[in-house]
Amino acid sequence: MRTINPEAKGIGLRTEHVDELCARPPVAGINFLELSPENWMNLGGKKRASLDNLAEKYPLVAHGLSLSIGDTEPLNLSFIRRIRQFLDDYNITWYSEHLSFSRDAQGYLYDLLPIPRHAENIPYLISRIQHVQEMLDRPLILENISYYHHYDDEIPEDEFLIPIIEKSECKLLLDINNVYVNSQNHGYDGTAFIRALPSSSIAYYHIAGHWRQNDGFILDTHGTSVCTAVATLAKQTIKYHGKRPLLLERDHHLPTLDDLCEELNQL
Amino acid sequence: MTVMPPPTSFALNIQAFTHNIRVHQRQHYSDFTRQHIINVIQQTFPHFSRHHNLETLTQYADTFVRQHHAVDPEFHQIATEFVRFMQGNSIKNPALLSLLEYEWVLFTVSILPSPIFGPNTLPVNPTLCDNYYIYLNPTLYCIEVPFIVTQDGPVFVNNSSHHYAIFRHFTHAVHYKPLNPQERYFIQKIPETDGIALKKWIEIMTFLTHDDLLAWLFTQHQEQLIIIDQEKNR
Repeated sequence: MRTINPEAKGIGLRTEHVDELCARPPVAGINFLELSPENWMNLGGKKRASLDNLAEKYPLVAHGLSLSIGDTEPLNLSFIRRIRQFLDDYNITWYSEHLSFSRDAQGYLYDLLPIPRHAENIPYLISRIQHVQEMLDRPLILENISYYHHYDDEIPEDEFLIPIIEKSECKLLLDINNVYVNSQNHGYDGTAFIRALPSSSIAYYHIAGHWRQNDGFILDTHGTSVCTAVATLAKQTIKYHGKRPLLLERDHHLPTLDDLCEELNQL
Repeated sequence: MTVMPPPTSFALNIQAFTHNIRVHQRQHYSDFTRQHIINVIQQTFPHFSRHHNLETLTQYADTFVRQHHAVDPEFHQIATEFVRFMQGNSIKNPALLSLLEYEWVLFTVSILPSPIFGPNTLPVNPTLCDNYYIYLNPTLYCIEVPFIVTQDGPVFVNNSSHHYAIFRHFTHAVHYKPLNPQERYFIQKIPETDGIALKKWIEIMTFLTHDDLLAWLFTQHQEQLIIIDQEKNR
């Protein structure tokens, strides 16, 4: 099993880069690849062959989208079993997901939706996280999401997030861009939020670009380069919590692989 | 370990929120969800999409989000969920539903988990060997569509229907092959999962010469519509 050291930097695996990554020897500067199991699991054909190729060259981290840990439907046990099989098949130790939900009583919405940050919801979420961890035989690594919706009477993010992490013994994928986006959109101190997090629980970092609308509202698009403010927040984060593997996310307006690597190396 | 039940207020809160997303009253989330579904439609069903303007695709996406009960979490299943949704809705033009289903077959064949290996070398006359079997390519779909399939995609030329075999080659390319009535009969006589002893299959085909049957089998084995192999290898 290949390890990912705290100095490691990686990129999210995007379809547009797959052929080039498969054709080239391991690209200098890319220490690991992050992929969404929902886009790769239980497939054959070219996608399977490509994934087998990449798994030979790079350590893989799985970053899920559809676990829906924060919904109120019964856990999708069959899906969790398929995830476990995928992780085992590809020797993937790290499985991160989002502290969010993507399903309601009608079905899947295929988006990352915010959970009501109410203290009474915390024990329920902890019990779900523990159940998933037991099924996966791995700690769940949960990401703080960006959000554009408020429920009534919510508690601050850190008061919601920290007890969930500590009591469930899951890990945190600290998305630095999401902290920046939320702090700007919802008016709080992003640095103070980051400083409040338990260092020992942070597994790795995400960093990405975003888009600021004309009205100043920011959308977490992953469609641009990382801006100076987020890079600065990342430096502060590393200064406070120490180095962790760093993953550059880019989903839209994808640059060439070499340009993305150049940006990764400059972070 | 048992999961405790959610607080009632939790379920009510998120149900109210997602209801507003589904009826397009939460601007950001409704827009994200709509665009995501439109992207899936355009990428997975390019020919179907070309027959619709963006306004119609948007209406499909919005109705899909509002009405459909999507049960599969994998993202590649969104295309399948959309086809299920369209099949359950009275799409005005059944030919376009066929086009949608045809593109779904292409997509599905390309990603089916079954491994396809290169054709093995056969003896000059495998019918002399008792243990040779004929199997269907495990990715094979036999379809009837109201259009002709060309290199550039489907073309509606008349009201007649056309039969094709769609299957994946060991190179991962998805192939299509027009099927005449005789070939459809040949394929029908090969059980989907268990295959059939080559000798037995030839005995059934009394209306063609042994040499003609062997020629068809060899050709289709090379093309990978079928797989001829010794039983012990399967």
